[in-house]
Amino acid sequence: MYQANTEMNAPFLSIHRGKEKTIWAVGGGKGGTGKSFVSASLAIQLAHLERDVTLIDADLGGPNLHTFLGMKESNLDLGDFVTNKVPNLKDTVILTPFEGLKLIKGTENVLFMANLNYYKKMKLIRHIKAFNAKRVIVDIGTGASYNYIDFFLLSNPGILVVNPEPTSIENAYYFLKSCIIRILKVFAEFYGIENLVNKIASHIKDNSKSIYTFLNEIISYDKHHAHVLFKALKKFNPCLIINNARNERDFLLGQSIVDVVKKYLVVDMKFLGAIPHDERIHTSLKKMTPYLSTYPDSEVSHSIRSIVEKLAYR
Amino acid sequence: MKIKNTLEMDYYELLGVNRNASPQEIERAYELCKITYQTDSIACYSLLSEEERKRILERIEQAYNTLRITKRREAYDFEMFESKKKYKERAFFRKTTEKILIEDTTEKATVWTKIKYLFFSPRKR
Repeated sequence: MYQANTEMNAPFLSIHRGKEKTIWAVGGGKGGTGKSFVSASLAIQLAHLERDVTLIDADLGGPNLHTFLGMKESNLDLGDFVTNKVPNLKDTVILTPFEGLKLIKGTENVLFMANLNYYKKMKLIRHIKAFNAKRVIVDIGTGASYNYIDFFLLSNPGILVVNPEPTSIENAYYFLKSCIIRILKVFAEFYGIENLVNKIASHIKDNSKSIYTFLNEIISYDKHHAHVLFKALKKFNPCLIINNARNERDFLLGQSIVDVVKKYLVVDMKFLGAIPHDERIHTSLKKMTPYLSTYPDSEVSHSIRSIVEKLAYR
Repeated sequence: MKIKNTLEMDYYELLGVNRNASPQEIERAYELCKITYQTDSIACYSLLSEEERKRILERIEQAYNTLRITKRREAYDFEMFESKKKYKERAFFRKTTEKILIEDTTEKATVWTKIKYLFFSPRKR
């Protein structure tokens, strides 16, 4: 009988279970949904509560978190670590205007970072996991490539930021499907279940089947090993934030998405809350002043506080 | 191990409520499901075909129409869960809290239990 323990022998993207340190990754598939705004706001609010937060700008395609924090330039960034200019990730940490909040700025060498190779990605993942901070928030970029998915999966939890628009929802579902396939593939490879690895690879090639059909196919193909993979999949519990909510229906959309994902993608997702639309977000960005400190009593700030509390003390 | 699709889910799973959900909880869950799977819902966009969306909405209506009326709900619960119990309802005492539904039931009145009752029942004074 196959008795592999998914927690003890977990591969590199094993979801971080440490109680002393948590890693939150903010992603969402589509660009322009407000991931960076959400990451920066969550980090500012969390630093206000806990004083030991590091924000990592891992948006490999267009980093701009420093702008959301009202910072312009710095000497060191993530690229310096990836290109071995500095030996350790902690050497790239810079202080921010907010007490208790540090930043690892994204690199401006965008072309190089967007095509990060496997070994460099693994090095980055290792260092993020071992990073010495109580809370780490990683802002990951747009898209569903393995680079982004792996950053999302190493966190606990991964946070999807979605706008109440069909395109954004479509990309979020695609992102979640890609995560599911990635988890199954990595764990199947790790346990050396060759036939399932091939099955998963053929599914990736022929992406016409639904996740439900695909999962049941895996079960009927190899029941014992499928059980091990599903144990790993059950640990994937992303969270959801609806950004730019304009009416009551947008606020309810989060619960609806959670329901659809549970029924059709077999993933238990948690809805953290909706952030209302506010024109002043753009105004504060233009002025390079962080929104949360400029409008601390706005509805947006209240919703961010509530989301941070749900996340930090869940 | 089996992954259920929406056609295989029972009415409680379909509405996303517990089996002991109150009528108010069922009402709330139904309202949310209706919003989720209605014609112009963007929550289903790209993941469900029009046919799938209609099918689940029909089942949700069925589920709600059954669970909102106590008698129908009881009949459904009996048909779905009580009549399919894996264990015989014979145990006299409770062993674990998990089996509370099965083992807390009264003993079936067979001929032998009736005889036993005649001889060994505590006499009323």
